[in-house]
Amino acid sequence: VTARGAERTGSARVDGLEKVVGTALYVGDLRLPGMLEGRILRSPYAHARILRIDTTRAEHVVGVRAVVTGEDTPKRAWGAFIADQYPLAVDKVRYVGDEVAAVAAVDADTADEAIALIHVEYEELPAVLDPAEAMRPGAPLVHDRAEGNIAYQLRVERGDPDRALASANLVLEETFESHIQWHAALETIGCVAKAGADGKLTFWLNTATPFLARKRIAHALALEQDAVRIIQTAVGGAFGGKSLDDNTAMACGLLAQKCGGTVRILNTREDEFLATRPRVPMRIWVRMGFQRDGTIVAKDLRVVADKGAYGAKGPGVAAVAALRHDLSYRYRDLRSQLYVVYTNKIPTGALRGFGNPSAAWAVEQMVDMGAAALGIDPREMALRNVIEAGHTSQHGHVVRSCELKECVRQATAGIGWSEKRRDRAPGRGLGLAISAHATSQRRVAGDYDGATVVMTITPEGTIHLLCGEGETGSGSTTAWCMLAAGELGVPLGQVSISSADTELGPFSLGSFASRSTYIVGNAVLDGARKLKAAVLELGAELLGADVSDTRMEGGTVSAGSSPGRTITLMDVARHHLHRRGGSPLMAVGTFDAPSEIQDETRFGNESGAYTFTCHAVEVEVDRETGQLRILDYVAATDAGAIINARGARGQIEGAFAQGLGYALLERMQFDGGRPLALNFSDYRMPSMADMPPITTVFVPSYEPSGPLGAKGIGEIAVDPVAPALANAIYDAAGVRITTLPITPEKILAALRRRDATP
Amino acid sequence: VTGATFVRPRTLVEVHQLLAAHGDDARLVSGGTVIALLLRQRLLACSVLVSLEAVEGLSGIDAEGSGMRIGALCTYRAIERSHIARRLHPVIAETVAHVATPRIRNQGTIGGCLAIADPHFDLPVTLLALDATVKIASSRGTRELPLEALALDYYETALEPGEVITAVVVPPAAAHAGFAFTKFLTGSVEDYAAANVAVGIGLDEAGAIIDARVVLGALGPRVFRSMQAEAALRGARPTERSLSAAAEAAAEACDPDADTRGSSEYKRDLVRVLVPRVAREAFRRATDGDRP
Repeated sequence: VTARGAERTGSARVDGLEKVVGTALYVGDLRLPGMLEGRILRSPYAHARILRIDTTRAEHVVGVRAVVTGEDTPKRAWGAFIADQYPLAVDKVRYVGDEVAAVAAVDADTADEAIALIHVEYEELPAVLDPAEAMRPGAPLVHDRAEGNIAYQLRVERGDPDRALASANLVLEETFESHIQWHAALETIGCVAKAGADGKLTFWLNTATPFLARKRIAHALALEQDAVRIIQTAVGGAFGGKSLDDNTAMACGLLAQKCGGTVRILNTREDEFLATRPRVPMRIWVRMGFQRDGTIVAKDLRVVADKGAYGAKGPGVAAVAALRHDLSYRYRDLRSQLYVVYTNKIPTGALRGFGNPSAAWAVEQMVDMGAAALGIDPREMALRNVIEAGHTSQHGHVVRSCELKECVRQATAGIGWSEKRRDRAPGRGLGLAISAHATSQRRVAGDYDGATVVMTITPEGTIHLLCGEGETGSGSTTAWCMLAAGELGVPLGQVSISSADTELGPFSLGSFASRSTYIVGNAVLDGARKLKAAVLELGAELLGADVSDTRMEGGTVSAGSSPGRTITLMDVARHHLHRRGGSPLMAVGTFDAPSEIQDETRFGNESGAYTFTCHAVEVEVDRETGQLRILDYVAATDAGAIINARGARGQIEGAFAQGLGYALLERMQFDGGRPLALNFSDYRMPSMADMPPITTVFVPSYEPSGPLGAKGIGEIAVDPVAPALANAIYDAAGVRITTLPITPEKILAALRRRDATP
Repeated sequence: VTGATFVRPRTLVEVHQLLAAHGDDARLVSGGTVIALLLRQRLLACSVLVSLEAVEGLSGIDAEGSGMRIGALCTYRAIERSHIARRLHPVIAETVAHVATPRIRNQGTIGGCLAIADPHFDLPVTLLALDATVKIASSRGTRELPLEALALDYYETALEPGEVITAVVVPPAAAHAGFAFTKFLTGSVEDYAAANVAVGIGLDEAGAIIDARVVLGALGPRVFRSMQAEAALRGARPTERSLSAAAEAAAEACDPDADTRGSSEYKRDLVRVLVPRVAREAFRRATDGDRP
């Protein structure tokens, strides 16, 4: 398949074969000389003081090589936005699952045996498990420094929402609740850590963010960043959960340091359910004002987010929920208030969609309620209010490309919206919801939101890519290789890419915020163009022609002045290297997004570009049981120009499945702060057999700042699923579900409440 | 994973000897789909796993008279695909198609399913409506037990130490009989049911109901029949009144736990809706002679 052909039909994954036949090296596949297995002892209490830890018996177990507790650590707190968690608990534990101690032994069973022999004396403390309760005066404090258990708060006002609401023809308000969803990546979080004789720690880590991981590990273990090296392994799905917000790598590094050897910790499923960083649950109150014709005039929003015991990325997630959805509509007057609250539960953080799914759950239902109250078709309501290209939001989002209206038109056309609304079938209903998503986010390392790719034409004529973002399972590397192949006119099979390594490759921010295709793709194009210029220059030299007369096509160089003579990339690369003073033919491709650092009110263009979508769904509701059946589903997306159609469709379908789980099935429930589901029998996710028919449409679009016009695509299809379903249920049965997940029982209860109301 | 010794005897005699020698330390394993989970979650400990996989005489599906014998080692998938089962008791294949995932259906066996006695399982519901019995063997001899008498409580059966289920026998269906089964799911299609309902209807020549079975699963500590619901259905053609009386009786007989699939109240509500629906379908099949 040539790259140009592949652009149309899509391409198989460049990493596919290794993963399918089982030769890709995941953390669980690694076998290093003398490697020990590590296990973590976790808190059984939601909130307790540690009085004493006795590790003597564990240390005496035959085969145990190291036992570490908080006393073996520099006691440095760390965290993405707030430094509030220790690698191993110091003085207190704050949730069921909090890391207390760790053991390295010759095998996992021995480590487990030793873990069971560590004696910890706790003094149980009163726990706060609900954000509303945690905010009350006098509530027990999760962190002594955080008054009222507020981890972060924000109040943003643009325009004059009170005046605008007062002038509205209709004002509606409602409270919506979203819940904790868990990443459930196929591969659990893990790493192998090796302590060098010089004190240096090398990690083989399944991370989406190698350099960020290095920075956090170095900070928490009080090392220089150069004393930590991260080598990225194959990553079996990340979904936001493998950006080093949890303590597994910290514990592993501490064990390696203590025994001066090599240790692996690969989370068990139970570890994952207890102590990773699942989706932030929120309670969102919305008040919205409308004019009679359906124009949205103002919105007032209040978010209370349950942060769990530690910050992780929670504040960022919640702030996105409070603000980003606003860029979808032509608002003038807005207010958002946000309270991010500590509780004694699992710390919550980033999961595909970030804060967007929670915001869409609330706001997209509110817009639908407005349409219903005003007797306006939700499709017309959307078309009347959504933005177009050229829009700058009240929060400073600069939108250069936007085909949201076309998304609305195509999603509704695909589902048969107008015909089905005309000829209504009993028990059936239609719903739609929209969303906007960033496609890069946060200028975290100084004023920088970019990427760098080192590209080489090898003496064998292969195009080799080296960058620090890596592959987490989303297909990014395939898109980058396709871009390089297309730009240089070579078959995709002639492009290769290495995995990320903080010592060998260029600095990277990582793979998150739907940024990989957009940011790294641009850097790849830049590098490819630089290589092409060098190839043309050298080719002209070899052909004895003028550069302006030289062309590059299909991986060969020719000149108009010497027809019939062609030079291959291999010839050029060898000529560049195998000569006196020669060097490999390399180029450094870079890109920095046209985004801005936001101010303290989060004003500023947070992302280089924005992706948009509209989902439309037809459902059937069984009024006797509340059972919901999805009859048809259409996702229409503006992701700019599409690089790899097959990969793009996979991202939409995968994110939709995760959105479906969020909407209908998945939930982490707790008893006294302890998660009830610690395995996949109790935590149910959608399976292949649960997938309804889904049609994926990409509307024609071109993002001026994107690689060949492309934008990110990894997350957005999670966002509108839950509200689209809720809106369709309202259309089908006349009841509105305001808490997630939507269950048949909730639908039946709502139907009965409605029937009981005269 | 478990540290237990895995032995593969070839005859029932060897199985009995192993069970006698190890007592409570030994566990039988056939498909292993449940045992593996229990061991892994440390809900079960044993030092010897006695595999029935290689034991002769425990497989195969045969017609006996016009009834049917299903060997204890038959997998769900084997039952689903069996021409004999599809011809004689199509509702069994219909039920099995709803069990868990294809991977589990390829592995799990009917004997294991019944011996585990998990009230959430689907197949026992239909088998009970069909008046199935189980054949049991031990060193002391063999016996046959009505399926209804097998499960006593959650994961508890009437099996004595050393006893092995060797087969399930399903008697022939009466001339004018119809059976239907519904698995009601509130979560993933691979999840356990929130409620399982099977109904069997037998008609006289005039088309009146002379015999009925109403079986409920996932609604109490064991899969069970509701005799009151059955009584409510007997006597004539189903009417709104008889159906709602049966539904009410069935709902009364349930003792469902609240779990992720629904509250106990909701599950009772489901029974009220599902019993009439499934009974109507069974009646239709009995009347039309329609074997699904």
